Amino acid sequence: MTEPRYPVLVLEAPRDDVDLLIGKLTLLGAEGIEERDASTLVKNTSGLVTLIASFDDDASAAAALEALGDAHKVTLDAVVGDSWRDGWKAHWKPTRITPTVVVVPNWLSYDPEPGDRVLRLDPGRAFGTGQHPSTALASRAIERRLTGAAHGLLLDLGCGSGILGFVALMHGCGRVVGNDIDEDSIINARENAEALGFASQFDLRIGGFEAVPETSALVVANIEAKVLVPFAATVGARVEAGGALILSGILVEQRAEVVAAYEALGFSLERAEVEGEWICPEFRKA
Amino acid sequence: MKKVTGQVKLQCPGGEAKPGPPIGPVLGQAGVNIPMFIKEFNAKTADKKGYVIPVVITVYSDKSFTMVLKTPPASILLMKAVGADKGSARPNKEKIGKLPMAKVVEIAKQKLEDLNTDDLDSAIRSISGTARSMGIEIEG
Repeated sequence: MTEPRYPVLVLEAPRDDVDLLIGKLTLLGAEGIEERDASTLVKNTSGLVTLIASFDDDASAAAALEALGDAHKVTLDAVVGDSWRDGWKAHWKPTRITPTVVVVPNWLSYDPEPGDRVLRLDPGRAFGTGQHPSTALASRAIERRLTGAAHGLLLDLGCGSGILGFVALMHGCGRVVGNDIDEDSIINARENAEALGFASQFDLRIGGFEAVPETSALVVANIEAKVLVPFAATVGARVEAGGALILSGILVEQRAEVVAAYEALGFSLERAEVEGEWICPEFRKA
Repeated sequence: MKKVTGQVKLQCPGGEAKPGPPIGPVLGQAGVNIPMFIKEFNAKTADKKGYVIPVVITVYSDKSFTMVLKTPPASILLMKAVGADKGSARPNKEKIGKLPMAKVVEIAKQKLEDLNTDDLDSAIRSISGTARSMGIEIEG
């Protein structure tokens, strides 16, 4: 199988030229730029700064190379392969995300404490390892709401690796419907559901909110304020009257904007737990 | 206290960073959880769509990270201000637009912190120099 190839331009320039070059590279279509100097992890100790700019394809990288002229040393190169995507996993350790749930990479052994529920997961390249505060906050909200309560169905909007759905199923939720616009995330979540024995209870769908037309008394969405606010009516419509809505992926500074958007739809704020810079508002629908 | 293992400097599109190169390879090499960085960066820059946002990521020995966001490059702010889509190839001869000095001062104030100075005059000189090298004429 041919390995993927990502074209990059590599430039060396004096520090004083960097601002202008970043502007030029951006306007020439660079999707992102890495800067290397004496202070960075990968160093350039020559006194110059190395800029590595990535492009969509070889043609746009070659066009940018030509447009930059010969004022600086520029070479066309490429990142080949995808092995870098999984490098961080070597450092992932078991993570306690709720008072009872510990997420354990499925290639590690773990000795649980009494009362622990071990969630073995391979997140692939999807978001949702439990390391991020937004995942832990939403998981704790789910655990709190499902402990000692019966819940038939959870809707997990923007489910990523499926981690929130798995937390719900481990706490006795009967069924979960999850969606994500990222196909790889859904494939990965299905593999995890299979490995965890939840495949028949976790219905995973590729697509946006339209992929989940159902309504439920318990809905969770760990996405971002920039999606949760403009789509408040769509998300809110998935919650049954009297039902609960858990939102996550929200920065503390975005609290007012998010709360206002959902209160305008008849939701009342019940609780908002904070961890670091992140907040998890929980609403009740009238 | 956690030990710092290094810094990574990136320029990413506000609210729209993706895990591909150059972000993914350098963060993967540093042991940083790439999807987690993308989620945080995009959430924190959601209101800066259309701008390139410099970010300095400090990586710790346990592979956790913190990020500091900077203001967009002066060249991007200047081009947005004149409504141009690229700088001049021959800035001495071909001008791409004009800017009033008041706008240059506004950009200099915006960039003050990142230019590592509290000297506004020095920042104005720096931004004016960038503007001239892009073919932007300053009025007033």
